[in-house]
Amino acid sequence: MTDDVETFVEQLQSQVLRRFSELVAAELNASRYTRHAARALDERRLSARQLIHRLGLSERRFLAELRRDLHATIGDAQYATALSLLARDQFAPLVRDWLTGEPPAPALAERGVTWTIGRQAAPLTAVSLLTLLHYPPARRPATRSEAV
Amino acid sequence: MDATPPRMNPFDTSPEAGHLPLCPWRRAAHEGDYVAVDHSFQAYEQFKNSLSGDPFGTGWLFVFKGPSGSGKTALMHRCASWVRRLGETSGAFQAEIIDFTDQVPPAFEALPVARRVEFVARRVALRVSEFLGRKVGSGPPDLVYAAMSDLLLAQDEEDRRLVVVLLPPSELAAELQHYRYLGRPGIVFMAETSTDEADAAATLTSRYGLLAVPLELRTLDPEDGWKLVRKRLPDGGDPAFPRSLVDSYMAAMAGGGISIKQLRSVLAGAYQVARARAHTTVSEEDLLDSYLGGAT
Repeated sequence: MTDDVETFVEQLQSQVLRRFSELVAAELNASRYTRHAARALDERRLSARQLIHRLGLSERRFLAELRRDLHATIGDAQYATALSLLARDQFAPLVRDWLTGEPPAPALAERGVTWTIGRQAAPLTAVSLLTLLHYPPARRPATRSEAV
Repeated sequence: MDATPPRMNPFDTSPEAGHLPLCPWRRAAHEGDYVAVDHSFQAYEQFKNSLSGDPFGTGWLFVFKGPSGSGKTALMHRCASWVRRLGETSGAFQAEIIDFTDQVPPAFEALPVARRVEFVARRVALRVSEFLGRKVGSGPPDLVYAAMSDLLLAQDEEDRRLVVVLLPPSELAAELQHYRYLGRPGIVFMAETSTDEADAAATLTSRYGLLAVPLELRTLDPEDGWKLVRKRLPDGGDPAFPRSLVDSYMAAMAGGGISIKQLRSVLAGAYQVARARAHTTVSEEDLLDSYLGGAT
């Protein structure tokens, strides 16, 4: 079961990094001066981080945007904060531990991630989060309760 | 064989070139590189007014707030440099600058606030012990800074030192709040926090009603682009930047707001591409191609 959770957490991290790239690409697509840089990102000739560094863009601003985007998708501030921290190298191991059921490290708690998922609930939580990221609420067919 | 030395790129922002961020207290030549853009001069004047009375009268915390890349660190360095000159010209004190803006271990970012504050206190105490030649006691940060302050104020007038601590960047209001209470006479804290992070920026003034001096930076105004080009290329440059290209770029990027860091990166790239192509004037194509780093 632990292996399963770790696999799910790895997938979560990939999804979060993909979203981060999409946000950077969306901004670059907004101006004719930067549109072809966005293409380089889409075609994976350059990574989001490489472009951010090369163009002198603000990584922090994109990370803040990522957190807002995740909050809108997941509908929960703590999960949104935690998942957005998966995109930061220094915090990713702390978030991975938390997602596998450990109590939040102090650095996470200081950023608003205060509850413990617990080992038993960890796999289901990870799968739920993955589902939300793969199929955001707006794109999912309405459930009976949502349709009422 | 071409013996001509390579020309400097006037917009170069690479750390290897020693241009990012500007740091005049380490490199005096940087003082002339500041350009009156992005409201930084108002913040600089505000800082000087605050500290030009009696810098030893109280502890200080200056918080530099602004979007990422807006020049917060560069402004902090400039302010620190001004304090050093103030001490030298008045003969009243010697400023000891302790810089943590890029002097922390990689894992520092994810440490809990208490440990970050302790880390800084220990390092500052060590430096103060070195230049005073007297040991600063260890213990919790508030006691350490109090002991340091006592030692600094007890110095003979002709050997008076003012300690200027450039704190590591912080995204947590709670961390800056610590420094609000740790400030003691003889110690000036300078902190930077990004307004991209809602927590630190908003909470500092609302929840904590910070008494420190917040210095706000913003993204660039449209005319700042040309201002930077004229300052860096006073003779027009070779290759030259046409004003229409710079203005058009600034207008196109105005929606999302452009920072001084971003503008310098783009101008540096375009300049490099145009030079590699032996163009006498930077073209729009040079600028576009520079985004991908290609000078083909």
